[in-house]
Amino acid sequence: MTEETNKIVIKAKRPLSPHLQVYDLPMTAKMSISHRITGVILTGGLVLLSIWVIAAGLGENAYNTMMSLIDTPITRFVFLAWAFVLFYHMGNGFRHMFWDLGIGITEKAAVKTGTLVIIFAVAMTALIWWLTCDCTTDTANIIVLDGGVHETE
Amino acid sequence: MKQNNHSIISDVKKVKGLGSAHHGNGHWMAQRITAIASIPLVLWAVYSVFNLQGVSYLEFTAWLASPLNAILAILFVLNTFYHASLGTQVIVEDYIANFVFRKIKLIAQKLFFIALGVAVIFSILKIAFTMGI
Repeated sequence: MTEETNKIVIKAKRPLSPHLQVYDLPMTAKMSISHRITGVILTGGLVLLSIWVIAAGLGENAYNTMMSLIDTPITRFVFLAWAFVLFYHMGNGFRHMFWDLGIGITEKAAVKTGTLVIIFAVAMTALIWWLTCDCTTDTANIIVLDGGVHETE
Repeated sequence: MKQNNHSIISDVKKVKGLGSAHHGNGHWMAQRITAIASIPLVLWAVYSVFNLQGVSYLEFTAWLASPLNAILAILFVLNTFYHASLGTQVIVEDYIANFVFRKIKLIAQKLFFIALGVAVIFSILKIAFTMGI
């Protein structure tokens, strides 16, 4: 269809045949579009991480303002959600790599590896939470060692 | 115009800029390479971000000023920004049908990634060189 006939169809507002909104997409299709959606979310995450570092680069006041905004119970949950999104994208990325090598491209295998990706994402999110939930004591120790240097400045 | 008898693309198509641009392979490969490189960098970054939630200015800058963290942070920025740029480029190419909007969006987001990336790397270096021991 050329661009011109396309425009005519849109102008006429003819009914379209039922499309995405009526289909129950198979699991593999849902995972496929999720890879793109999570990619876009992670790009947003990169922007937020950038603001964190740039604020620190601007100085203590900017950093404190920024931290007062992001250090709340809700944002801690957001960080966990971010980790899940990230590990999903990473796991599904592995899946894509194997497909590129010609491994696991049957429908059965794709469903199986898709389930594995979701398990991987949940497990890794749990792991990162478990690894860092008691981090306050660790960081406190590091800062005690570092503190003297900065107090003299 | 020089006639290329081996091409199946007609001269009209060439003039209109249709047909393969022969950039696809490089894009595809770069996306995979940055994906593989991002595995260790992202694991380090996620672990660090979770450990650094709510830390003070001095704690954060002391952490970032350590050479290993500063170098990894810069590599993380270069790699993930490039990967994100390649990924969002494909999404825009697929979903924005209007030629002009598509081109503007593609150029704008590339410039955005470059500008933000430079700002972050500058901030990392500033902290590393001024707060470093």
